[in-house]
Amino acid sequence: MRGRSHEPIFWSVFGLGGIVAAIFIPVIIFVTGIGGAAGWEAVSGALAHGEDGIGALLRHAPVRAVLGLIMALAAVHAAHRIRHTLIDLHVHAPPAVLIVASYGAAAVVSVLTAIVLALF
Amino acid sequence: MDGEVLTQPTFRSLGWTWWTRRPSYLLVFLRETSSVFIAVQVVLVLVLLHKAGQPAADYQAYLDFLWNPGMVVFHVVSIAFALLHTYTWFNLMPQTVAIRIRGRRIPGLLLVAPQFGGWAVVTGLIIAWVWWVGAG
Repeated sequence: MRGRSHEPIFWSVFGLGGIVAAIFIPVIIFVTGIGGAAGWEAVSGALAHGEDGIGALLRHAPVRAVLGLIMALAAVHAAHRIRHTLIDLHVHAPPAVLIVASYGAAAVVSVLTAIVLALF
Repeated sequence: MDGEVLTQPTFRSLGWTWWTRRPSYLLVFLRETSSVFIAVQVVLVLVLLHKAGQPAADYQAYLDFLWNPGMVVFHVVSIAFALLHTYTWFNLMPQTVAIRIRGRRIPGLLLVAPQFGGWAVVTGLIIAWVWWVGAG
């Protein structure tokens, strides 16, 4: 029953995504969802439309590359965990369906993020 | 919290209500649930980045949605789950990484503490950077 030797690649990306999510997701949620809403003008100013706001945050290509990598790794991490949690909750779906739905969704999110950031 | 990330097959033999059996199982379940909130927040940020490239009115409409009181409650719940993930993930390190010096395993605290230190520095730097851009 023990061991995950059949999925070392998924697990290593999951592990990397776990570190990245642990470091970056709380502050990303704070900046995008809480700071501005709480009336902190420096945060809402940084997220304002245009070159002085979010355009300034995303102006440099390395920033966009790192952000895209963070989001893709966090998405794969979440997909892996959601898939295993569904299995642990005895959701009866064919394994292949769960794999395609979870990692497929993470892949779609990753590709869309890459496109959006590349075109920004 | 000792290494449950690798022991999920145990739960598979307990029926789907395994997480109600013990407080420690509930904590594992909540930790795993953090992934749902992380996934949703990644999608919300993806849409934000997309809207940032659209006309100002479209972008502002999305910000109004993202910052309405109901969504802020969701963000606060999300950040609580995200921090639970951060806390549990950093504390898992001593179980997954065994660094030996002169034949002895170094104490777990030496593996865990620097991660929280690094996390605090990165978080502080990002908030300072956003602040600097927003105030400028």
